[in-house]
Amino acid sequence: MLLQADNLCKSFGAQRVLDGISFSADSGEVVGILGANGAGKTTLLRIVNLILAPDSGSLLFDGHPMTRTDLAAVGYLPEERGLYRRMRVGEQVVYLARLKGMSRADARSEARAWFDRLGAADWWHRPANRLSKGMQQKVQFISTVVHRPRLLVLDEPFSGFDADNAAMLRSEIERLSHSGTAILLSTHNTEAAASLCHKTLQL
Amino acid sequence: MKKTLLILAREYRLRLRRPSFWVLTLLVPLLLAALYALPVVAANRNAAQAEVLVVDETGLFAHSLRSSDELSFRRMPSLDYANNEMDRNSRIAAILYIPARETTIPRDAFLYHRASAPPLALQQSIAAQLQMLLRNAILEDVYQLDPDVFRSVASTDIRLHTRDAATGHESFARVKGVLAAVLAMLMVLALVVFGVQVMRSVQEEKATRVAEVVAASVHPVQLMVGKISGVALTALTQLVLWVLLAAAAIGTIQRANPDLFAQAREQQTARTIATKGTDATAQYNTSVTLVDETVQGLTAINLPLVAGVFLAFFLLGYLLYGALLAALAARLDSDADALQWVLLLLSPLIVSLMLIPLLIQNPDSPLAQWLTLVPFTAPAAVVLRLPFGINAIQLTLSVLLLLLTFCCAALLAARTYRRHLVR
Repeated sequence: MLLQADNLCKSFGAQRVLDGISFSADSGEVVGILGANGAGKTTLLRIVNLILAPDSGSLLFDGHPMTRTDLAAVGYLPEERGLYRRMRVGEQVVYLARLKGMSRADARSEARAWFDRLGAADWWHRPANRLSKGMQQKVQFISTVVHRPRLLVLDEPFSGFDADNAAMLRSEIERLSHSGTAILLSTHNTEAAASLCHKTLQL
Repeated sequence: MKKTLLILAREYRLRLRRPSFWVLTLLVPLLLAALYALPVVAANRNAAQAEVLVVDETGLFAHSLRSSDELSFRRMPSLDYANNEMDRNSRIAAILYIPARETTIPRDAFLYHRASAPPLALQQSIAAQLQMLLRNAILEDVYQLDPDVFRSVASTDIRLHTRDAATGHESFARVKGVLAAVLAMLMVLALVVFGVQVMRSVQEEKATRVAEVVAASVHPVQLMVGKISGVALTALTQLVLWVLLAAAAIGTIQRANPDLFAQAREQQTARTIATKGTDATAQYNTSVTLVDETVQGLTAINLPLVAGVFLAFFLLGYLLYGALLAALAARLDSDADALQWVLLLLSPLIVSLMLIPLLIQNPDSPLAQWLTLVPFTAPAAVVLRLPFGINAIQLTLSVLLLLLTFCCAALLAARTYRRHLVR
């Protein structure tokens, strides 16, 4: 099992957001995390990314307690996402990949491949503020997957995406899943979850 | 460490690519060079001789007023006549009117002008001449003394030499005081400017929502240290470029106009003599002594050590304030709130700035020593005391306390950053 969460609890002050949540995700598996607004989906995904620490419970990655070193194998697309506005997007993707531990050469060649694949090769030298919202969404997705993560965490991935990008994202999720990437995706869209996910977790 | 360096490099490259960095890098040295050269150019432009009409009803002054390169006097029989003359000739700067009095010693003189008042230097020059002539008249008429004897006595000067008892070297307190004030002001200015840059950088990362992606890759401490160090490197680059470019610009101006600066120096000496109205040689010697004192004072100060300690304390102070301002930026959402908190956070620097005159008077006072040890005021206090000499133990303790406080501030900033960038 790539990711194993047991009995996770998290409170903010008096408000209990997560109460004994357990789930697992294996390689190639797409796990949908469902719930209404405020159910704790984003909090759970932030815990998986070690941005927040749970009050109790355990999180195992590849059979061992998850540490920051494991984050190199995790790709994260937050719900509220953005790019450095003045930085060239190619450089930006390489930078974020290197923060995940890739070498510069590796990051560049992988990023180039993704830009070509998604028809974004011409944008490489453009700063983010010169791209349309749809273009920026593609770049955000590339920066999430460029370092070849074993676990992909997508928080409301379809919200804010236009129809073309949503279709692209859906097909990439399926392709990555087939190639063995474990995917956690939060959504309140039960239809999307039913068509994409191998299993779901209701919060 | 590798990730910290990556963040540092990104921050550094990004800033160096901004046109504003290069505009400011070029503009500040030009501004400094202009500040240096403009008074000299202005002094030379004002060198045209001003004419003053003199109506002296006492008869004590008119014959003895001495014209110079800057100022000439022309006697007039009456005020009406002088007024008519000034109406006809627009180049006349003013009318000097000394009314008759019942007593032998006149107490008031009037300088009448048309559109704008004559320059202050001109007024001072006229007042100094009148005072000298009046004094001479009193010496001769009332006390029957020879004015030359009095002038000789009055121009006799004694210099108090302050020297180190162990080495016998001159202390040059005046030169050191000026240098200390300049260093302290520069330190406060640099800390404020570059500290605010870190704050803006964090605010931008929060606003663009990249922060959460980055926080999922690096530890908040690495993120903060990388960011702060990147801006620090930018700051150092800019400071070094400012010094080099300003020196080059001033050197170029001096080489291009050697006569202009020599002339200005001579005029300054002549103006001093005219203003003081005492023995010319003595005054000239005093001027030369001042120049010598400055040169010797600067030579006596270990300037590389001063520069090194300045840079070290700038870095430490910047790291401390940068970390706290970064934490503040992470914590606050509204710019209006931020401004008030920034002022509060920077208040120790503002206090240091206000205390400069007091600390220069007594750089080893208990207040100065305490300010050296308080990490928030140490950068300004240390560079202010540095030219006078500072106890090595106090300096070491100050560095250690500043480092320790920075580490705590960085941890606080990182915790605040992680806690508040995701809401």
